[in-house]
Amino acid sequence: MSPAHESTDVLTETSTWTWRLVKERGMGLLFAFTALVSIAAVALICVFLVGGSLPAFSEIGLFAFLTGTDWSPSDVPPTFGILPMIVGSLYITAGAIVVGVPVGLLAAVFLARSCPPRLYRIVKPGVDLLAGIPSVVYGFFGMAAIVPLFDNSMLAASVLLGIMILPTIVALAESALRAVPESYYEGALALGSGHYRAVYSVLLPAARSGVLAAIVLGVGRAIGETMAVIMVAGNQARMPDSIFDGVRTLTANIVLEMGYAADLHRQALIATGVVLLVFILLINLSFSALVRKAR
Amino acid sequence: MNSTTASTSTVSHLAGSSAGGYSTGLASVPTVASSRAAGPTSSRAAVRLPRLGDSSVGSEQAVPGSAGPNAPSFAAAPLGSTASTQPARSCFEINGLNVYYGDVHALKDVAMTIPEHRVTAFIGPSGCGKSTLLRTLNRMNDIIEICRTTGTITLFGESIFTAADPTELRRRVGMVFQKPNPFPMSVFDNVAFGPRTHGTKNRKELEEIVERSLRDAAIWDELKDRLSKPALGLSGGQQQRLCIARALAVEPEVLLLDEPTSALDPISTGKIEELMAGLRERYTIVIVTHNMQQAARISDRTAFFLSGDVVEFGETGQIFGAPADPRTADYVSGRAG
Ligand SMILES: Nc1ncnc2c1ncn2[C@@H]1O[C@H](COP(=O)(O)OP(=O)(O)OP(=O)(O)O)[C@@H](O)[C@H]1O
Ligand SMILES: [Mg+2]
Repeated sequence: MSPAHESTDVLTETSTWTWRLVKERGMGLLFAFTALVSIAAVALICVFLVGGSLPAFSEIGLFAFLTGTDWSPSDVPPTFGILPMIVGSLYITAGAIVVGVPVGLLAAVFLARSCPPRLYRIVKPGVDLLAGIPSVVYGFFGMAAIVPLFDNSMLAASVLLGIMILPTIVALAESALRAVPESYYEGALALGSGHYRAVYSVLLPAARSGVLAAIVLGVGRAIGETMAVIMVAGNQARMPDSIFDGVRTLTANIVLEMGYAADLHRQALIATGVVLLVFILLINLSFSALVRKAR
Repeated sequence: MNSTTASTSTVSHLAGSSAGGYSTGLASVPTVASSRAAGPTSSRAAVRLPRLGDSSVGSEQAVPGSAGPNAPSFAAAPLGSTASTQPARSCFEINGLNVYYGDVHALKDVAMTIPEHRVTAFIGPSGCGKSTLLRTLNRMNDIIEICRTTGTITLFGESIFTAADPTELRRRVGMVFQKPNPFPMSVFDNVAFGPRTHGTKNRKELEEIVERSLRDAAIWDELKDRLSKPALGLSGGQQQRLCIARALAVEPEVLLLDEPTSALDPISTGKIEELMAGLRERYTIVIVTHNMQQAARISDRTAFFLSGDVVEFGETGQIFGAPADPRTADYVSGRAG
């Protein structure tokens, strides 16, 4: 090996090294940029929502807006109280939890602990498929199968939403249960515990945070759902008296009237979106807190 | 799948001791069950007493005038002395046992009698079937789908395979695992888990059981102020003793330990060995260990396994001092395995 030869080697090596550095830096910037895009999207949404709704809040008054029980945008003068919609969203979501969480948790326990592998290969993709069905299709299903039983009502919407949040809850709760060490299960059995007691008193509590996170994510899905709910909930903008009454959710309120709303009415609808966003934000915060705790 | 074999000699033993007013392991089962249903603390204590007296049953049968249940301190006296010279009742009788995991023939025609109130050690190279036999004794292998078992095992004369539901067997035959596995709950809830499973609800009763079990596992003093703290915050050695306490809380008759100290430091190991020496008075102990000194120190009888066969089973002193089989000799002297 001649010294000259050696020096070219060093040169090529240096330039390769520099090029590699450039590539590394470039990739780093690209990743940072894409991350910024998503942050920017969130920020822009907030800016436009808040900006678009500020006049409504100042004109109607935050308190009157949130606690008013009368929504009559075409009256003279109009009244904008969204309490019926807040209540509607909360009730329907609570109903979805009552319907979906027990079923989802039991299904998750079954999939994680007792499902024979051959059945699993059928059930699991089936559950995943539920997650991919467009909500308008759920709406059709609700109109065809649930509305005949319960009319257009809070109950019908709750049942339908309960089904819609199943895949979220099943998938997350199942993976939380699978993450529980097998040694807990064996330990419980070795003490003379039966299978189900081991699952309910040891495995589920051990997977508690993950299971709660699954529920919270399901709640987020339920409260934000629009199309399917509109198709079965009846959409009356008044305080419901019973679960058989029709109700309107925050999301439905926006969709149903945005097409023709103008001025204050339009701003009030955007303000409804802000209220929805705050709910979603709270849910996301508790979700990440739970996930952090699960680790 | 498994046939029931009741050893006649064991049955007559039982009849004799029951007539003498002692509640033997087998005879005590219905008593335990009924007292659980009734629930009062006093009957719980009453169930416990005969078991404590059990060792005097042993001495009655054997050497008259020999030390009572409390006399020999096993921690101090060299193990395998006085007590093991008395003929012990057999706890497990294993005959023609074969265990398969799919195509793997993990135990081959094993026959063995495990004596009551003794420490029996299983030694042998990795993969020779020690854990398999242990897990067969409390039917933990039932949960392994590919596992198939043939042959007979009796516990105090009664086949362990008769009952469709193995939970009662597992209550009577406790197990401690290689890796400490306390549940992610408080120390108290860990120990109370077993009793709660078997129907004890009364808080005061549970508190008594928890204290007694922790004392028996020699960890009460360390944990009495931390009962409501999460068990996962304990050290490895503490966790393992907590697991032993948890197993003791359901008042088993047998304690199976699968390499209980292999994940622990020498000091924790020493504590657990000491503990076993004390527990031996009241429980039948079967321990798997890779530590030859440990087997020699704490066990009365030792079984040497080699690829699914029990090559030799005898008094620990004999296995380590004068092994009959050359393969045993090679293994215990460190030349093989
Ligand atoms: N769940 C299982 N599935 C399939 N094979 C198994 C299973 N458990 C054990 N085996 C096999 O059975 C044989 C005996 O295993 P076992 O765990 O009883 O050995 P061991 O003596 O306890 O070994 P070690 O000292 O390493 O713990 C081994 O060949 C092992 O691979
Ligand atoms: Mg093993």
